Amino acid sequence: MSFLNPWAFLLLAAVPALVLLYFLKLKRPTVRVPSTLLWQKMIEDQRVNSPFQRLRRSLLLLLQLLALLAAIAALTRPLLRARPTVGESLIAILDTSASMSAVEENGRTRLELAKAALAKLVDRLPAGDELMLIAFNSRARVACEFSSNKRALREILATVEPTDCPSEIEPALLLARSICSARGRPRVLLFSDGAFTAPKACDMPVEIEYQPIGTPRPNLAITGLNLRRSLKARDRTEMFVAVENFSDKPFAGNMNVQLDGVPLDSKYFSVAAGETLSQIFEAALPGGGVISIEYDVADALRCDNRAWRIISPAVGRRVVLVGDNTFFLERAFQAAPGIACAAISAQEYSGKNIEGSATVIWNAVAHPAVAPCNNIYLGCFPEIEGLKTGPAVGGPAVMDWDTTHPVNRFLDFDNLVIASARSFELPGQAAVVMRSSQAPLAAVFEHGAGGICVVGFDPLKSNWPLLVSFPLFLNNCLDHFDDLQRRKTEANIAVGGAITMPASAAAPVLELPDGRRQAMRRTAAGDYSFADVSRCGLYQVRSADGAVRPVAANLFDRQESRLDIVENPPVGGKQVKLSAAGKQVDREFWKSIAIFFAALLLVEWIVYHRRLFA
Amino acid sequence: MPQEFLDQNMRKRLEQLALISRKVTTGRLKGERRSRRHGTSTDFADFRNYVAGDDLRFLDWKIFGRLEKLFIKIFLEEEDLHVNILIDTSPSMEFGEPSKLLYAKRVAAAIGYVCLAKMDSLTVQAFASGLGPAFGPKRGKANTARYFSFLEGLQTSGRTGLLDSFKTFARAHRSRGMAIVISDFYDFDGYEEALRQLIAGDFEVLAVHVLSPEELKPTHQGDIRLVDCEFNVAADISMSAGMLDAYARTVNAFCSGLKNYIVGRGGCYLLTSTAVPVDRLVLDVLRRRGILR
Repeated sequence: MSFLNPWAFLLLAAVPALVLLYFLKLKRPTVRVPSTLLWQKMIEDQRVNSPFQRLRRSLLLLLQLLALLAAIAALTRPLLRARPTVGESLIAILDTSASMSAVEENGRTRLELAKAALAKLVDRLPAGDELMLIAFNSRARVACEFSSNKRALREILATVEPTDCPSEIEPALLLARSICSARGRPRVLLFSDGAFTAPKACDMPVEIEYQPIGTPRPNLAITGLNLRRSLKARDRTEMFVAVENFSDKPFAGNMNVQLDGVPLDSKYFSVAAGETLSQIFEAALPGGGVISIEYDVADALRCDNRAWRIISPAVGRRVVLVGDNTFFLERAFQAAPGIACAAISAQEYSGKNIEGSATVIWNAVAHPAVAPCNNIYLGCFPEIEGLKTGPAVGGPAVMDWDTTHPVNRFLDFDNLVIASARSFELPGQAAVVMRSSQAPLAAVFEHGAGGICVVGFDPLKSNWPLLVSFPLFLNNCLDHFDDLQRRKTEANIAVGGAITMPASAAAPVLELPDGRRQAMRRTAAGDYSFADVSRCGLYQVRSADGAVRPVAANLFDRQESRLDIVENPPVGGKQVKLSAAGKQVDREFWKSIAIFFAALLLVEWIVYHRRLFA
Repeated sequence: MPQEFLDQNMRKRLEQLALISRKVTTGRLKGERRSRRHGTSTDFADFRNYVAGDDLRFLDWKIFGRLEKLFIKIFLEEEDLHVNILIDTSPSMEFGEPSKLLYAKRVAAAIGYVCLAKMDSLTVQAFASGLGPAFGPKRGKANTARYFSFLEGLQTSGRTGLLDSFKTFARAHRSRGMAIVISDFYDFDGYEEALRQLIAGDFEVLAVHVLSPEELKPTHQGDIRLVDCEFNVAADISMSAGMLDAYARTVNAFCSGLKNYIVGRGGCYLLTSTAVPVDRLVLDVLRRRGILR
């Protein structure tokens, strides 16, 4: 409460004055009576009353004091935070992300708690107020338009289901902001645990009232699962599992690996508090399949206790060397097992009999073509849109290389000496993996059905063939291209993404992890898509020809698995705690006090006259 | 002006009335009322043995014929009535409109005129803190003018002192009779001891309690200062409905107490307001109460 005219409090000095006047009395009218004999009793009654007893019994003085205080209070023009008198519009943003499925100590999930809080808000919704419900995870949707129908709101609220999706607040805020502009200044209420990525730029025009849901919970999560063919034996697969402990106590249990539902391996593991465990499994998976890894540890969130990966059948590697002087290239691939290497001249290359998984290495060919597979250009440049060659650069020194890129894995180019190189400009999507001070020296990008690696200098005009980084770089390129290829063929997606299938005669049917079946929708581009991948697990796409293509959807989101409660989540605009009283504004209420003052005066007048005439 | 007290019509009506005494009184002159003295009236009182020297006219010959013993019949003596009117002239009687003193004078004039007309012995005594001017004893209508003139000359003075006044009066008046006290009986020392002096002096007490309507039902409002007109004592009081109710109860208790005290001792009590006309009080109320006939 604040006051527009606090100086009026000085009038409180009139309170003791009133009390003083009450005791001192004003001049009384004198009435002569024949004798005070008969008044004696009453006079004695009055005389025996002490001043404080009289004060206690004086209803009139009490009323006068109250009236005086009310008048002073009205003059101070107090302001009170109160709800606006007009009907309000409320936008409730409800987090349905994976972390909201965490089970609290009372056995209820955070989403259930949030829905209960929201249901309570609906129950208390004043007449005339309207509520809109936005449910969000990685995407946002309007679950319910503005409505004041409490029953409909409750019914729609009950239909909001949890998801295993990561959480992004920005789409929901953008949606709410667009509504704010149309509805004046509605209240925006956020029911979430705060585990979401910060919006990039979303300044809300109104305060966001945030209601944190839940309490921090211990959780163990699989935050990563990678599969790769073993370097030693292509039919064997290495499985890297990252298990992170998001609690202050250790977890231990058994981690079980299954291939197409059949147990494959099992290991005991333990993870200290706050630590991350990298567990490696290796198995012969020549035919590929669906790998699922799960541990038997009970924690607050289930959806991150299991992970799935699709691995395609192992295929042999084939490398076609085009050009002259391929001695060092052949020697490089001889060191790697399972690679079928063939060398041909540029004139012999026809582009035929080269499967999509093969890699063509163009070794200093004058006018190299672009094979319909993976291509590596050493000292030559294909004619690709966006790739332009520049002048030759003499003796460029390798200044930098991207150690995070897969093609540079385990590599060191410190000893690489290049006699000359040709500068070139790259397409926009290309990643420069090696550069000199003047120009890029090597770049990798995707083109068509495969990947392309361009090296801007002839290896024979450098000491690179003599360095260990040369065969490793080439093998890394092959691995990278394999990854690109596998990424296209092996459907491993993040939950919240979409499953797309190429156009076909009949619509494929999607079998969800819970066994329900749903027809995929055809997009404008002609292919089929299912955008509501909201649960972790294995999705089966059944084509009309009977083929089944599995799609693995995993969470792998540390933010969702952390299960902390963010008290001040990163949301745009001003953020305040949600108050049950609703949106409040400063409101003067001196008129109410003035009415109270008048009522007190009236009561005082009535009491006074009742004493005289009743 | 004497005419202010009683007009001719009122006098004629009063001449038809007589003051009734409940007691057999003892007077000095033969009159129209029975006396405790044995005398020659027709009212038989008793027998006694004849002794030498008795008047033979009072021998009961019928008893002598049956018992052959001489008995003397004793008859009550008829004497005049001694009426004493005591008028309170304390300042408290100045209160009211008309004042209680004027009202008392008018009542005293009416009763006194009845007495004078019936040849009763009339004594009027003013009193306040002590005895004041007195009139009488007189009898006969010839004293009417002087009587009224006396009444007119009465002024308030002093303070109410019932005990001293009545004590002095009772000692001074050996001839018993009626003692008609016209007063408001406002005495902080109480009325009981004072009236006891009259009762013990064998007076037949008739108390005419005169109060003004303002005293019976005051209309004061709000915070006022009451000033006692006798003692000039001021008292601040917040007048309220409850206070007025309590005052009404006090007045009732005061009047009831006075009435019970007097009636319980063979006297007669009459409460009147100055708003009640004197002729109605005398011709109606006093007659109905059997004081005048």
